[in-house]
Amino acid sequence: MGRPPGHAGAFVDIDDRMAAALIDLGRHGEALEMRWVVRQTREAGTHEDATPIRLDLWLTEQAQNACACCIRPTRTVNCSTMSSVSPAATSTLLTAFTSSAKGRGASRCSSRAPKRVRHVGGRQRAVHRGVLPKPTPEHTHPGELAGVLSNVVFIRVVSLGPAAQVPFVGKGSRPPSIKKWKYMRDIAEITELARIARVDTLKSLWASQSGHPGSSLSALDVMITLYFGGYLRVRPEEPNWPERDIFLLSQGHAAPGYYACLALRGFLPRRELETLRQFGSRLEGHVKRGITPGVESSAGSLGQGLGFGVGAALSIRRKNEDRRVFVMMSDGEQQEGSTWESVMFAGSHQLRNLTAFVDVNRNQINGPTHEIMPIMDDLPGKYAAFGWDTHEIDGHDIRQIGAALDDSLTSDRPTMIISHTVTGKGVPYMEGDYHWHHGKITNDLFLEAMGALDESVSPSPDESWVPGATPTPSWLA
Amino acid sequence: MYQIGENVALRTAFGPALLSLAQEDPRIMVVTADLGGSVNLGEFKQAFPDRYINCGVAEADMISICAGLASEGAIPFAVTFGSFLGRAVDHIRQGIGHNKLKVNIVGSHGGISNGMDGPSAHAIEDVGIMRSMPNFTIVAPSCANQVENAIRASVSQSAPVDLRSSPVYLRLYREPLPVFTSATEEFQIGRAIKRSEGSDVTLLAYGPHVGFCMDWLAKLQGVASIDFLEVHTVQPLDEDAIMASVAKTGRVVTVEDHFIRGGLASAVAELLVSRRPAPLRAVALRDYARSGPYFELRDSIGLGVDAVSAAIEDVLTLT
Repeated sequence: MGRPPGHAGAFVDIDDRMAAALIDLGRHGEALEMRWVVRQTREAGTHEDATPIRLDLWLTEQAQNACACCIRPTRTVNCSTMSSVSPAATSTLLTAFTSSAKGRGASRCSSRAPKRVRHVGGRQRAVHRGVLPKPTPEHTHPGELAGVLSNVVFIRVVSLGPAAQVPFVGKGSRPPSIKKWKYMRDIAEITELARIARVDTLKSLWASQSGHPGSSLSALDVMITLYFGGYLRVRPEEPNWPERDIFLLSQGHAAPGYYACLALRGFLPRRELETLRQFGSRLEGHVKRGITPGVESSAGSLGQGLGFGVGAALSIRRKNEDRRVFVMMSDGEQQEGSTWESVMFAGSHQLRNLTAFVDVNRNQINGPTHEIMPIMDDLPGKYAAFGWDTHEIDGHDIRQIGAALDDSLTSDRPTMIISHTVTGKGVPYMEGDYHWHHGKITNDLFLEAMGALDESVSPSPDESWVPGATPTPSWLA
Repeated sequence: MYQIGENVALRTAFGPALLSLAQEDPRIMVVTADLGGSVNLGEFKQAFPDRYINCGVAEADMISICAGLASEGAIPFAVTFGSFLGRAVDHIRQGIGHNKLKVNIVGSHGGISNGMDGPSAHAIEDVGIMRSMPNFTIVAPSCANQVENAIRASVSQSAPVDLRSSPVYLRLYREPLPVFTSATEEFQIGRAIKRSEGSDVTLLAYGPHVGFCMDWLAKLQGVASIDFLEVHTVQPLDEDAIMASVAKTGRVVTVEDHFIRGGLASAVAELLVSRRPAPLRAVALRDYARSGPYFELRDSIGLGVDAVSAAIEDVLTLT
């Protein structure tokens, strides 16, 4: 069932007790793609050593009978640590969910239209979409919540503090069957998906004999984490789903890696990656809007994606929607002046629904970035100076990526995640070498790369050299 | 609307006209690089503060932000001086043109109309730049009474281009000009307006020079019989109307407050050569201008009545 709590800020799967206490996970199926972000508030004088947590609930679309506008979880409470857990603390948290459920009830809600939750200033006004179970206000016993939250299919607990503790004690509940939401994978699974994406990327670059392996591979772990870690809420079968989150590949040349990610996520067949850069293909050399499912904006001329993201984030905020914008930039791109126009705007306007990455692989076309523009080595200081929440991570450590992203979800300002990566990560002869920003992969180099990625292929080109030859993991299919 | 004879600048008419449209269409937004006041958007800002964004002195960001807004369903108007769009050409090309997004770009203070500021603020290649990119419609009203019609048309379904989904470049001018069209005159994007019938020379103009040529018409008619067409839409040109006139006259004079290469003269030359070659003389700038009051500048750098008259005389000698 659930796994023991992990480290701070990582994906912490709920443990049996938590699950048992909270939910009856009998349901499977398509989860409503919305998050209930429960913000942490300090209750003065109590639980000082408490660990703030965030609970993400994925709810089924089949949730019955209640109108979402009646459910208003408004706050978290500090949850005491495992060693001093008390039923009171447990029930306080759960009551925080359910007390907000006091309301008029579905029968008195005037609107029958699908609705969804809005996040406004840290509190949730469940105004739209999402039919949720009708709660009753008296719940104090965790087990009694089973009926209320019976349509929750997955809960992710994220610890926002140094000690990741999961503080609930169940009483009288039975172990649930936890079925993970399909696109909320854990670290081991994401790592394997990234490996497969690397294999597909290299196969497509071998097929095209043209393209950008260096950045495709350095940015890949972040992109896979976004698409498979539950951060980017999208619908491959409906790429223009109005409630989707937005991902912008501002460093449009990392397209091959991005396409591999999109293919794994289901936007296009993995086999189609073979057509990269060919005439008539849906996969151009740099990402193009309108031709590749899942691509929001064309890119390729650096210094523009962040501005587009600012516009999208502004629009989303104006419409009071619970949607996020993620922008992936390169380190060379920081040399474009227009980047900083967007940075200062986002900082001035506190666009909290905007999270950007800089893929710091330390290379650009004509050489290492620190030789060409050394003053830009200290990016965190610069972004912080412009009013952004800034993180610095190892961009190949899924756990760190997740932790930084988790933080960004509750920030009140735009977030910059400086992601230290390696050009051509995963392929030893490429790693760290600026010549592999772009380049042709010969048959021999291809075989060497496959070896490094633990991918067995035939010694000469055949079906096994085609993207998609690696079977999609069963847990994803 | 405005009274005939009243002096109103196109840029002054812009703000209230956009506000009027915005009151009907909630998608209308403004992003300006700190120049909203210059096109009279104060009332708009007050009425719709969340639909008015001053992105600061950052034209490239202005364009990218508009692309992002448009992708989310807004109809953004990017507002700055035409002279400052040059620095955002790549953003226009990539973010709007290549993305095929609906953003209207307003380049105000066109030509030398911002006379006294000097050439750094003169937009003399903006039409050429926008014409050189696919997918953009270019409209330059000549009279304050046309501005609202032009704005409404710029977001409408209309032949030949469906502007509900296609970007528009709207050129405005700084100085007050006498209103000479009636508020009820039809304004159709892509349709030239016949201003006078004649048989010797086809005169084509857009922007303030339409009004100026109307004022000078009596004098110009003394040189030749003028078939005068207002070509407010520089891209796409009303090819049929122009060629019908050329079929009559066999000679063309273009007049524009723009550099000689890239603007109307070039567009018409392209048309003539591909349909029915005819001699063409262009009244246009040959170089950067200098600081000076608008009308004085206009007359001393080859954009005044003498220049137009001379061009007409010249083209008559070519046949």
